[in-house]
Amino acid sequence: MKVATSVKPLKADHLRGELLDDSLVLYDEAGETVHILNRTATAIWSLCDGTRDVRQVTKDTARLFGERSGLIRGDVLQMIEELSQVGLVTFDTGTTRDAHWEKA
Amino acid sequence: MIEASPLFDEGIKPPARPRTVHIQLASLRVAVESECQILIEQLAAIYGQYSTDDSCSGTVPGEHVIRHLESQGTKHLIFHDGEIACSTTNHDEVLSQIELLIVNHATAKLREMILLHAGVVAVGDSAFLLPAASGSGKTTLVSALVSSGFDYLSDEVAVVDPRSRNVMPFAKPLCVREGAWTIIKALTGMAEGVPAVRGPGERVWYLAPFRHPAAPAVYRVGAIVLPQYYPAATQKLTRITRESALTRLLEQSFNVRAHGYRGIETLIRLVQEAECYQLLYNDPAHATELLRQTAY
Repeated sequence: MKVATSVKPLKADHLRGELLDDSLVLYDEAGETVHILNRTATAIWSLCDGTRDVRQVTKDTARLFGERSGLIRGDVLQMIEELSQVGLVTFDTGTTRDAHWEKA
Repeated sequence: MIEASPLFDEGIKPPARPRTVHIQLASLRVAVESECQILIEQLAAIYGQYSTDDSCSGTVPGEHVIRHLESQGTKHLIFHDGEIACSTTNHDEVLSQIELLIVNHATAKLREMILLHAGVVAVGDSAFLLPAASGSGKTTLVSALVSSGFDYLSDEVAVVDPRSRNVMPFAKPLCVREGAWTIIKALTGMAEGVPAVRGPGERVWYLAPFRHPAAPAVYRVGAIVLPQYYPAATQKLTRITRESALTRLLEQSFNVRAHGYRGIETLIRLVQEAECYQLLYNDPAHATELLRQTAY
């Protein structure tokens, strides 16, 4: 299953974060878990503001790192999937969770 | 005419007068009572200057009480504040069971503190945290460091105050496994430890905590060192990212989860304020030289 490129990922609202050098330490107050994101994951997570869809997040990530969107699309999608699976991003409300995913 | 008690006819020893040893570990004060003189002497020996051996029984206000009773010469019962805590049929296990009870109770009293699974040594008021899993050689490395002049704070538990981020001594007896005993004897020059059995057949030796009379009561964390024993490794001390150090502290935390975000924040500040290293070593004596270079 892959996340649909049209959905708008949004940072989960039960997180507290702190920058540590190039990493971001996120504490999930709901699950009492800690996640440490590297520089790339931090950039992608930061762009998940609920206004950009996955396509736009990919474009903006590519711009940040001086890459071409087409080259990093798969990595960005995979990262958003992982962030979603561990509860660090959610998707825009009003649709069921299943609607955010499409078959690979 | 005095008649012999039927119990004595069955070979049961008349009760001896119990003896007491008073022990202090961190904020815990405990009196251990037993009729076994050897056990009391062993406890007094392994807690060194943190214990006082009384010839008569009795406790003082505020002290917890651990009582060892030998039942019919085969079963050993250990009571903690009047309730049975554990038992064994192996006399050699009694010492380790009591020592574990004391350590567990002392750590339970420190629930306001962040407790990390780490060896801790110090130079002046600057502490070195050595977070690592069981069996990774912490005690051996700590012994080597202390023998070369570092102050001893703990071989297993780092007690960090989340308000000040200072680390406090947790001077429990060093518990040395069989494989490390020969190395530690050679490093420290200590001829004797107190032998015991811990768990099913695991032979260990206890050594009294080293103490330096002029040592301060609290220390700031100057360095976090992730020790890794590799027999075939090239020995080196390298700087690591704060992220790596934080990950290790989280892995080796006993209770940071209970502190919520405040606990995580404390660990983040610790790695931000300290130097962070990985130590690959195959010889504890040489490893101390590498660490000494960072201390001065």
